[in-house]
Amino acid sequence: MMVLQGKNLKQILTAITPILLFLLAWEALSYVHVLDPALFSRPSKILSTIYTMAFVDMVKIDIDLPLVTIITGDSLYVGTLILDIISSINRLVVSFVLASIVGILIGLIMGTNPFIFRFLNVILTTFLPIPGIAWAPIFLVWLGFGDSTLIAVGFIAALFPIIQNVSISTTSVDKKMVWASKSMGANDLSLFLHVLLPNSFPFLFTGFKLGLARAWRTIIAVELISSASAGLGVMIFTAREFLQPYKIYGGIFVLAILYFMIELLLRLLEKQTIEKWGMTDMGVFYE
Amino acid sequence: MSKPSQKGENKWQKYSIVIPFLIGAILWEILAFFTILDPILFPPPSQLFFTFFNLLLNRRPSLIDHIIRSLYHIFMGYSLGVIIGISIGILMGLNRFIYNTLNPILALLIPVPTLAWVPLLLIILGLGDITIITAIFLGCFFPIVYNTLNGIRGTDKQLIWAARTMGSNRIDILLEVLFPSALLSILTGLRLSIGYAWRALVGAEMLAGITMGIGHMIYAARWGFNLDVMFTGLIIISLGGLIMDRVLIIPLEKATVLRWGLLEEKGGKQ
Repeated sequence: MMVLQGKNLKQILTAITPILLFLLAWEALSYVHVLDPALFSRPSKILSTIYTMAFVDMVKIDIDLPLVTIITGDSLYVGTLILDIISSINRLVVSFVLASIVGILIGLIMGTNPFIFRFLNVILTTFLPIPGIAWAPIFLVWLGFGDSTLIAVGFIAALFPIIQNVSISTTSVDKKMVWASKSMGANDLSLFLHVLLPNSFPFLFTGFKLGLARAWRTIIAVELISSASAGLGVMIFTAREFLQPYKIYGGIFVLAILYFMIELLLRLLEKQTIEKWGMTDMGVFYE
Repeated sequence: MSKPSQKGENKWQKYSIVIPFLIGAILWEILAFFTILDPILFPPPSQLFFTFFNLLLNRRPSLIDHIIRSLYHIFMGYSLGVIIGISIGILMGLNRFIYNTLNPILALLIPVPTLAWVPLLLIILGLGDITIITAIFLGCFFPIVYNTLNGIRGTDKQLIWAARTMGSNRIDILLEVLFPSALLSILTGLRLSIGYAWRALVGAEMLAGITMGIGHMIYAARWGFNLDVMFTGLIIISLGGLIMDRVLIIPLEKATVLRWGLLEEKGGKQ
């Protein structure tokens, strides 16, 4: 976000120059063996590895991934890296959608009744600080290695911030607005659609943003230990076992770029909705 | 008349924190007793209680050893992160050139999940404490840098000018004006990053731990199918996260920003 904020060329240049210099220095130091090239692979090698993984080493998609089969049909050959990215993103999307549905439901239920709110809020504050990856060994035993574990852990990681923000959004509405719209003859449905829902939007957005970030981090982390068939974390950890640091660097680079893009997308969405409506970023950033 | 009722309310509040856990635990216990939930896969609370004492007293390394080693990891990683992070944040806030040089590189590295670094660290540094400490450092470094930077940059310019006209030198301005005014934001960073550090600790100990550490205990329990050990570890992790916040950050906050009357919330999120 900070890199691409600059609109004019000069700002972009000042952003890119340090990165290029950093990479050049790395390349040079590694070339003259000041940095051991077996541990600190040269950037040129990293880039060529990324290219090879993405476009040269082809692999057939034959894994049962719900989203992929819908998009690509049955047999399609893609680069191994592309497959890793697709499977990671697929897990992220599935777990995030599940967590949003369940989170919104539980959050709304919490909002209906102060007693339920207090009851569940205690449980929520206990579970919130547990890092997603701490659940991983338990789910590995419950569900085995593979997609279901990853999706479950991503789900757990994303669920709690979403519940928290949804439940807070239900209690945050200004009573005067509700009274005003009621006195002007709004029924329950239009009250919900035109007052309560827009009012809770910033909270929802914060919850979703946090949930998405947490799910992404957790899924990548759990992929490291759960030897699934494909995924960026799997790729990174396998590369470690074969002592291929250039693949790890490539994976880290791809991870950075991917999350950068997700964040850019969210930023755009935020500008189109919340900022356009004059609501600033609200909600709870517990992290 | 109002006092007793308030006291009663407080008492109710105190109980209401315990009640959800009690209900959950009793429900769980009953379900496990009638083996509706498989007690091996979902160990009931009574068993967790025994496991806790078993881990505490009968095992080698005991639970205390695990906790002490984890605290050592988190202490080393976190203090490294705090020292280096605050220094770099202040340098970036003071000097435009350093800011322009470091900001793009740091912005590129922020979105990488902390644990994705661990395989690389395993190759470079090997298994063991140093990898875990470095991972924790990486986890808490970025939020500290950026919150410190925001605090320094958000300092009221008029305060700096005023201090300058009254003849204070650069070090005085840094120590007496910039640092106190940035402290609120720095504390936000510290608070965020203790959570990050805690998370990085668990993951890094799973991947790089050798014999001790809470994360390693949970992960190693997988081989023996000891879900009770895992759940005990999970409870300790959850409590640890809460206690860290209460013991480290809140007293610090009370001693500084709250005492100085800088109450309003401010600071970054990342």
